[in-house]
Amino acid sequence: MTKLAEWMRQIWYLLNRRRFEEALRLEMEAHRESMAQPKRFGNPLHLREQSRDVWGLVWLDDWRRDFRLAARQMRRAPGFALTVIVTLALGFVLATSTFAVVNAYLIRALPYPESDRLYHVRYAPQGRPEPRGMSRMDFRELADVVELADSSLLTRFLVNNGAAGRDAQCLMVSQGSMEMLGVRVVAGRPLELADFQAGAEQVALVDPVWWKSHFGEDGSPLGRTFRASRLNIAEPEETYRVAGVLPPEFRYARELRRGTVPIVIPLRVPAQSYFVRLQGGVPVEAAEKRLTEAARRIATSIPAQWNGIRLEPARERFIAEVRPMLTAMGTAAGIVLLTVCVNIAVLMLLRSMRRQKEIAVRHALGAGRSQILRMVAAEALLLCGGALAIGLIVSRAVLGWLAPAIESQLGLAAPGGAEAIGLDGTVYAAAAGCSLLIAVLLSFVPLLAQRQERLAESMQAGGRGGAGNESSRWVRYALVTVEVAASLALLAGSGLMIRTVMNLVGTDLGMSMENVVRARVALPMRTYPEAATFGPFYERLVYRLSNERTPFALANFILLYEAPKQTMEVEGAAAQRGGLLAISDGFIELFGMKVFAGRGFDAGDRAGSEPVAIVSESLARRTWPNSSAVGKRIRTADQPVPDSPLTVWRTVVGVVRDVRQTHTDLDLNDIYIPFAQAPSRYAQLFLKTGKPVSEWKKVEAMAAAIDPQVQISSDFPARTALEHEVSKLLAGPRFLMSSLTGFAAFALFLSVLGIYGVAAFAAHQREKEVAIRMAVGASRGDIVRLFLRESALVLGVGVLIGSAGAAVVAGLLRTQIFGVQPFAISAFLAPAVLIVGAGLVATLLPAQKAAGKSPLVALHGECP
Amino acid sequence: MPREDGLPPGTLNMLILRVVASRPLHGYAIAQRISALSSEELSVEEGSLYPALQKLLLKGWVKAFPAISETGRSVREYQITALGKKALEAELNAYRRVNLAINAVLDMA
Repeated sequence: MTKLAEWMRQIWYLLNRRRFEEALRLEMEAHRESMAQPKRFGNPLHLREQSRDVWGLVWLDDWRRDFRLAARQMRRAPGFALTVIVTLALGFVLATSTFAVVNAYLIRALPYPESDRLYHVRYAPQGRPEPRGMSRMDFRELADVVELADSSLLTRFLVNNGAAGRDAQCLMVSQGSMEMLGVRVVAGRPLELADFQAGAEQVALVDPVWWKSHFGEDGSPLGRTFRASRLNIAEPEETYRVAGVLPPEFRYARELRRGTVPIVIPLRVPAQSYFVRLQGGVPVEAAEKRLTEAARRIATSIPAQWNGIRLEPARERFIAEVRPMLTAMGTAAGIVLLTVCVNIAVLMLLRSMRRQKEIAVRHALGAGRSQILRMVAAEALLLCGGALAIGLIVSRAVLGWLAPAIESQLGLAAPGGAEAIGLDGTVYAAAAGCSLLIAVLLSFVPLLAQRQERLAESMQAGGRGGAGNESSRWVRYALVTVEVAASLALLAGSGLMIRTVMNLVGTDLGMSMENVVRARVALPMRTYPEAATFGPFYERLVYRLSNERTPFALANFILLYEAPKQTMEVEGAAAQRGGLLAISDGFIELFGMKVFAGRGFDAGDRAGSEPVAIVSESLARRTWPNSSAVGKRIRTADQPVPDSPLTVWRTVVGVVRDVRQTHTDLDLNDIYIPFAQAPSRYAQLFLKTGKPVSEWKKVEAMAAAIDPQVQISSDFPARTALEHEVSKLLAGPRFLMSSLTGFAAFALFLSVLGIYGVAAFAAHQREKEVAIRMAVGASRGDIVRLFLRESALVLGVGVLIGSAGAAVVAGLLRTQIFGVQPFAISAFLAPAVLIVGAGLVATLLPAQKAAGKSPLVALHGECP
Repeated sequence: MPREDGLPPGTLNMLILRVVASRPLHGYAIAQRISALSSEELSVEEGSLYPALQKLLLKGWVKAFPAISETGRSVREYQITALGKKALEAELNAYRRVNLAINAVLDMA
């Protein structure tokens, strides 16, 4: 207790140091004057210091003094301080912003309670059949490993508002799932146990914003009712009463990519659980084993070669796609920060060599090694602290401004929303830790250059005229070598991305998307229970659309998306694999696809007419290399269903130019069949128009006139111009390219600066040596070559090490590049040439200056 | 470096506390009083007095307040606190015990 009081007093003294010192001074003054022989009073300053030392915390005072000294030094050499702070702050901005993005996606927990224990249940690998009967899995028996299981289903809901229907995403939520995901209603009540009982009144939670846009009504939806049915199930409409209001922008944690969900209703039938929260401390492997055993026990059928259930972390499922890109960017930002630090180390080293005289004087006056170290550390801390503060402020602003753009560039909303891309505790801690580490490392740098010089020696003008001692020269060169290597690694990475983007942009999709807009058409299961009922609707829609002048087309597939391939049986030839696409007769003209042989589809290719097909150029060449494809017969062989429009034998009537679904689509074997011969429940409707808004209004009215239940959907895929969607496909690579190029340019600039600084310093140090060489007959060229040789050595070693670094970066980018070999020599060569060239030019300037000096002037200092 | 003042080590605090225990005194007066009371046998040098006073202030055994000296100067006077009284008591006891022990050894040996 008394100890604590003593500490408090100590701090109080420290804070009011000036006042107490003054009191002490006056007191001693009074004492002295009262004495008979004031001269016997000792040295007042010394006595004051002794008394003051009793207050303790002397080290704090020492640091304060060193900080003040450092601040004074900075004011004296503002150029140096400014250069260091600005480059370091820039480095911090790059590194912090990138880390904040990496943090938002890869590190931060999903915004759900205990989200690190949320797992997606994979009953079978993607595209492989799952065991049947899994909805009977009893998770109460697995309570030792699984805490909660979620079997919610995301479905499309057709909500009747009296006019043309618009469907919306609806989550049929299993009991307890809303609690598991920590979703709270903002008004009304949450779903209760009774809501999940069969026969109870149907209730729903809704998003008020959606309610307003759907029903055009203001005010709270609480207590109101609506009628709705599922789009893909033949069920009668039911009445739902709104019991609660969802939080804004509600998304289902298992399907974050599917966007916002405006309606939540209770799921009353057992369904398969795809989402679980494990008990704390349960290893994933153990849970997988238990789940697999349970699945084997209850399965009604198990596919051949089934490898059991796998659990995938919830966040991993969401971010797997952006992980390689963010890893590459994070690594690049780290390399940039390293370059910045090395560059600053070079600057500090050079500066401390210039300050050797001052340091020697300090040594002579009794400053120990630790005092000198503290002095340098204070300077490094001040520089780093200033740079960090500026860096954080700027990063904060930059992120606040760019977060939405970053999300759209990455093509994936941040799990915690755009606000999550910002500076949180993790980022602050990482940035502060990083800058502290840098400051500590930088404090030791000048020691590397320190030789325990005698005062007299360093007071002599320029020492003995040598180029500094050997070891410090090697330190300088080693640092610059690191800079060169880091820049080369970044340049190589940026070069790969530039070529990737050039390749992608240069890829011809084979279709012209100009002014084409699209929407999804969906026929509800309730009114269109089977395939035979689809045709008549589309016939009437096509009839009405044909009366307008706007070109249109229908297709059964989502454009710009690589569809899975199917096996094609070919009459009289080997089977082939290819994509199967149903298109209406306007499709080929609308998209400007070229017909190479035979004909395109026309109005004659209807249901009931001869089954026909068109094949792509690649498929035609591969299947019938020596003869024309036209007239040959082909059909799909996957899961043959007798009489299905997809499995009948079709006669090839034409060959069209290859089309790519995406820029990286390499399989160009496609087979087209007439949409009229294979109409589907879901279709894409394309219009080529300059006035999409008014045209869509017309189309909606037309569809509503035929059947108001049919969905011409506005939300997915959005009714945007296809051109825009195509360019969005390239946003990711473009983003990676521009960030890497920016990083690389900054690093290159810094390393050229470093080379220049070291060369200029060497030229200055070796002034006398150069003068002597010239006096004994060396030409200016000889002198310039002397300096170039040294830089060339640094550059050469840097390029060698950098090539290894570049290989690492290329390895990280492997999945992100297209049309370039990651480890091709050419990918390293151009950056290497660039950096060596820039480095030599940076050496040339100081070298020429040194060679241009008259030996008389240079040696003047040593002449008596 | 404190000058030689003929004081057994560790006793300065006790002496200061003892003289300010009777009434508040300023620094010079403390030195004077110790010197006078010891018939000028003990002299407290400034180099020891002020650090010791600062130490006592920090420990909270004395407190300082501004005052006017007999000669009309503004000075700082030191006054013993309750905590200081307790400390003085403890130190005196310890000192007396040790003193007795030492005397016993010196007399008997």
